[in-house]
Order: sequence, then C-alpha cells, then structure tokens
Amino acid sequence: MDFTLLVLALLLPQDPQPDPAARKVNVTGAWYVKGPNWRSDTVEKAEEGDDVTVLGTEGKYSKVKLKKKDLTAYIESASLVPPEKFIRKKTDEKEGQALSAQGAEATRGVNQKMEDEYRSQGGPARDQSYKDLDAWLSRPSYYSDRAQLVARLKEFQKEGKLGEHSPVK
Amino acid sequence: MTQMRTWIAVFLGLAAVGCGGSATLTESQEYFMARGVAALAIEKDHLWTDEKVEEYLMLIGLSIAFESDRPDTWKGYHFAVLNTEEVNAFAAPSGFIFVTKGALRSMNNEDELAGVLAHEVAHVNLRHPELAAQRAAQDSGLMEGVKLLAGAADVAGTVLSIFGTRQAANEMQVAKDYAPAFGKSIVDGLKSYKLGYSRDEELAADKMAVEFVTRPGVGYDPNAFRAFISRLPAKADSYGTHPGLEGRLQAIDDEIKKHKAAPVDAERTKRFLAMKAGLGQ
Repeated sequence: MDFTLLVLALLLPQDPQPDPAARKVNVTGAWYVKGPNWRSDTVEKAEEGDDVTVLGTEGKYSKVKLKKKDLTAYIESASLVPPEKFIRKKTDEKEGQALSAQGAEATRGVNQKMEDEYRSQGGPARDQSYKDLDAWLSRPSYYSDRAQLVARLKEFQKEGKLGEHSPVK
Repeated sequence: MTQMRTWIAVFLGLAAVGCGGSATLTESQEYFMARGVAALAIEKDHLWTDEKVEEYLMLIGLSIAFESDRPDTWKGYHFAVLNTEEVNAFAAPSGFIFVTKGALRSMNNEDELAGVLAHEVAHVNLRHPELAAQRAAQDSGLMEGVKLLAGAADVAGTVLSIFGTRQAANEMQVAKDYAPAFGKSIVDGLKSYKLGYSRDEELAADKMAVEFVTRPGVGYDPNAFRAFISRLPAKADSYGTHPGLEGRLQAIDDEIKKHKAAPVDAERTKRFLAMKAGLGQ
C-alpha cells in the first residue's frame, strides 16, 4: 500500500498553496443576495461548485467575491466549504480529473443507480411512491424561484406578525 | 507504455483490496437515503396532497429554517403531510420533514405547529437524521458496498481514464448486490426517525426549537410548543423513545425563561384553523 501511494504521489501534480479564504458553494439551492439575511434582494443563483473568496462574515452570512465573474454579494456561510472538502460535482472539465474523482466519491454506491435498482425491485407500489415523492419535491411551483419564494414568505410573515413584524423585538 | 499500464493496474488492484475507503455517507448519499425513506413513508401512509396545506407548512417551516444555523440543505428543506391519524412528526436526512394529519388535528394554533416544525428543523441542524442514516447504512451492510467501490476509486479516478468504464460496471454490480441492504437501511432509518432519537438528542432538539421560534427573525410563542408537548400521552407510541414528559417540559421551561416570547397571534390562529378545517373530519 505505501509503495502504491508513493508511486501515485510522484505521478500526480502537486497542488499550489491553498488560499485560506477560498471556498466552494456546496449546495444546489443557494443564492447570492445583496445583504446578510434571507430577506435581501437576490442577485443570482449560486451554482454548486462556484469558487468564491470570503471577504468577511456577518451573522450566518459570508460576504464573498465570485471568482468566475466580477460579483461581490452575500451567501449563507453554511453553503460554503473549503475546496478540499468539496465532493459533489460529478465532472468539472475545467478543473480536471481531481474533481471528477471527488464527484465519484460523493455519490459512490448510494446514488441514482442504487435507487433505480431498489425501485425496480419494489413493484408498482414503490414506483408510485417515488413518483409521488418527485411530485411533492417539485411543489410549490415557485419553490426554485428564490425571489418569488422570499416575496411569498415576507407576505406570510407580515400577515402573521412574524419576524420584523413581531411585536417583540 | 503497456508495461506502465500493467504496473498501474497492479497498484489499483492492491489499492482496491487494501483501502477501506470512506466510512461516512456524503450529503449526496444521504440525499438518496432520504429519498428512499420518504418514498417508503409515502408508500405506507400516502401524502395529504392539499397544495394549500403543503404551502402553509412550507412557509412556517422555512420561516424557521432560514433563521436557523443550517438555513439550507443540499437540495433544500421540504415539508409534507402524511395522510395518517397517527400523531407524529419526523425529519429524514437532507431536510425532508413530515407531519401527520393526526398531529395537525391535535394542534390548536399555528404556534404549536411552528414549535413542532422547529423541533424537526433542530434535528436537521444537529444532523441527527444523518447520524441515524449512517448507523442504518452501517448495520444493514450497505457501507460494505460503498467501501468496495471507494477502495478502488480512491486511487483510480485520477490515473487511468479506462478505469471509468470499470468503475461504472462496478457501480452497476454494487447496485444489484446491495439494493436489499439499501432497502433494509431505509426501513431501519424510517423506523428510527418515527420512534425518535435518544433522550439527549430529543432534549437538545426541544431546547433548540425554543431558541429558533424566539429568534428575532421568527417570533412564535414557545409556550405553544410546550402546550402541545404537555398534551402528548406519556407513553405515546409515536414518541415512545422520547424522554419522559416531565423531563421534557422542565427542559423546555428552563429554555423559555432565557428568551423573549411573543404571544400567540389571533391572525395566525385564524389561518391555522382555516387550514385545519380543510383536513376534514
């Protein structure tokens, strides 16, 4: 084993010194927003795997600079991980095979193939339950539209005297 | 070049045998476990698919989750009603949160529902469902399949492009061989989510629920959560492994004292009762 690792270490290119402020977006549903809270206006959807530099933190939000374009915005700190801990994306041709290998690890064994196999073994009832599941996950129709979701949430909170409308500060 | 490939193939073979690989589930793997658990819960009890009720649950749930310490999960929080008269609520991994129709019927106002959802969001924040999924995957033997693949691919992914084909083939075989173990981990996972967690985990979720609902960005009355918990039968099946009622109430009381509590609001109760009326008799 040690000999194997030694040979591979020699074969693989060495990583440059890591940037301590570098992070990657680690969830699929995060958004860049103008301020450090969910009520702030959206800037744009964050892509899983986006490279950012953290400029500072305010509460649960990080102020970040997006590397791929000239954009500075806020994002939930919990959506970010150090690059070496990013193991989601299946392929990333721009960054080479290392990330592909990480992606393989992220989904290995327990993945769509496993679900398909398990589903096929369960008969019509199981198949229907997965269909119902997917239908549920796609409701409400505006769920993936952050601006619409936040607008609806603000309206709901106002009606119910919640959040900034609460009598208790 | 051929000789080089032969050597590398030998190394890969050794690595596959020698490496244990990762023994923990990634969030992606947890997501597929969560989908299995959710599908099984739906197969058993079916969803109550009133979109207005679902949206109402989501709006309360997200009001809390967005202000929690884990505002997002890999694919986001989702809230659903299970069409059963059993009184229960539970969280699966990845932020899939279920409340039963029986539980909704037994509540008196929106603040009680918010407290219950906050308790489940707290479990997600504390990663209790993920830890239970991990245990279920370990006990069912599912992790053996993951490790088999991990041992090979730790080394292979960066070296030989031809290995991609072999990896895919292995994935197919593992899916076939380990689908029963996947199924068992789903059954065991759902059972543990529905029964509840350890006493310490439940108490931690109770305290965190009180904290979440009283955060400035939320503003529900934590006393409503206490009121709901106090009405639970001492030995209800649905909360069978939850801590004793007295202990829970005492811990909740202690936590409530630390926070400013907003009163139950009439408008909120009105919309809750409208939702509840839609559940039928």
